[in-house]
Amino acid sequence: MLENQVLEINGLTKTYGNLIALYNFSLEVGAGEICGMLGPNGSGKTTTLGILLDIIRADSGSFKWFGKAPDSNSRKRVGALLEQPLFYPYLSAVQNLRVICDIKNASKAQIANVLETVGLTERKHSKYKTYSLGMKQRLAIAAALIGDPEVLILDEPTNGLDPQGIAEIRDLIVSIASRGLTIVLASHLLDEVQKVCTHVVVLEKGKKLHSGPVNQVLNTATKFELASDDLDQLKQLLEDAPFVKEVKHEGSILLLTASEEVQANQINEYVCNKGVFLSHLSMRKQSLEKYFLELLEENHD
Amino acid sequence: MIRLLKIDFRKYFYNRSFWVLFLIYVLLNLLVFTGAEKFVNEIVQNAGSSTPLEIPGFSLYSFPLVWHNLSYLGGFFKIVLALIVIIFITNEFSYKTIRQNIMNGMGREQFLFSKVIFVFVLSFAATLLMFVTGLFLGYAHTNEVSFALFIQKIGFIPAYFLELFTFSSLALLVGFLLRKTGLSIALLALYYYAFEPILSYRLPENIAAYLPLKSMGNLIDVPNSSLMKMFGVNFREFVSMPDVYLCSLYSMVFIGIVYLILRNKDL
Repeated sequence: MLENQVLEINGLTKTYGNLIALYNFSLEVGAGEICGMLGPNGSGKTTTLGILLDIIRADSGSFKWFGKAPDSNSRKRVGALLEQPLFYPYLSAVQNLRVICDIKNASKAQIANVLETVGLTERKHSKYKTYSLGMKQRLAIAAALIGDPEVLILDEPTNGLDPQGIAEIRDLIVSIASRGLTIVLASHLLDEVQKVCTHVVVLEKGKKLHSGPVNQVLNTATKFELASDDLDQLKQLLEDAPFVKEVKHEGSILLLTASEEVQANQINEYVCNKGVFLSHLSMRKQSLEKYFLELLEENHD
Repeated sequence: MIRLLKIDFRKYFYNRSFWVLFLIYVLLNLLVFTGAEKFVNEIVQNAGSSTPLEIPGFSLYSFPLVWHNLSYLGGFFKIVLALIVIIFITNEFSYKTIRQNIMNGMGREQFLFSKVIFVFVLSFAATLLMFVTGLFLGYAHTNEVSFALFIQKIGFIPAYFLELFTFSSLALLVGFLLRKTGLSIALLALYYYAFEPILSYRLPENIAAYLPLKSMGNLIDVPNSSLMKMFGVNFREFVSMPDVYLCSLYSMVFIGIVYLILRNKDL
């Protein structure tokens, strides 16, 4: 159990006919974490979030919000944006938000604030159906902020937006995150997750491949660039080393993939002891994207 | 409950199709309520012109007969109310706002309850319309109004409400079941105009009487006109309790099925 645990998921499974949308999925999210859910389209992200919001019924498994079995009151402490904005097209932004205030038992005084936060104040009396996609998405974020939620669930918040819209929404998320809210963010845009998240979960075909802090992923370098006067000799030498998985030529350097956690100085020491001196040694910092693709690839092997 | 009423009020108050349909319903009712007497009398007179018998003109609007006559006539337009209910329910699915409502913290059973309240309010408004019209027409067409006369057949008013409520509950069920506006309207119309009439024709009469639309129709029987009395036809001039029980049971079953659908299905 985490301290100040906000969300605990235990073995959720959901099938649609023969298709397994989610299989035995478990996760814990602590207060203040910004948890990114990564995975290709159809990997079970939206299914998971739908279950957490009582839109979708799980076949088996359970989850707890704030340490208690979920009910409609626990959802009032959660703000959510699921897949696409969902509003009454014939109502204005303000009228739509009033409906949500009534559902959440929240003060209507908040409406002006949340509209200000997402920059929709000028168009607040226009009907929802006249909004551009970016405005709709921003209204959805405004709606999620009603009722001062402790947790935000954002499912593909930049879906279908132009680059400017994506940048706007991302800045908005960063500024909201700085208020100390717990956020669960599903996305297939890795850059997005890397920039804002503290934790990451990787899903594929309904199965969890990895979960943990983002730093852990980014700092465990498993790749090193090396060079010496005689590359072939160096290659031979490294291939016998216990921490090496693979060594290959990459232009005028060697690329080493480590099989276990190893630091640059350990590599240096090892080749030194063998009487070889390196002319180049650097750690290749891994991006989340590379890590993610590798994870998927490993899973396919 | 007040909260749920308020939430739904916000949803339909600014909805143009709701008001257009409701206005059509009101006008249709007023037109028929006020025009019926002249129409029926003309038919009766025309029919009587070729017979040697003297047929007296009569009033549909005098107390206490007005309640029976108007509730019988109004029953023909309950399909418009059903249309409003279906559009209102299926909109929540086509806009996917039912998801928005639930994920914002409305319980599924609360969502259903809010719709049952809507059906109740709508049926109540329609009953009120009939009552007020009846009040005016009754006072204008009754020579000596007494309280006893006024309340003599007042039982038709709650019966009228029950008929509208039961039928609107059926519309509620169809809407929740099919989720698509056009499809729901088509199915309800098909059932109303074709399926149940055929079924009741095929089934033995004592069984057919228990079909949903039939039992709603039985609640308020055809009013007797003087002409019918002359021919010795005599319809029931009161509301019978078994019909009331049956219609109440149907409403509960319809709403109960919606509850089960809503509890178990993905939205």
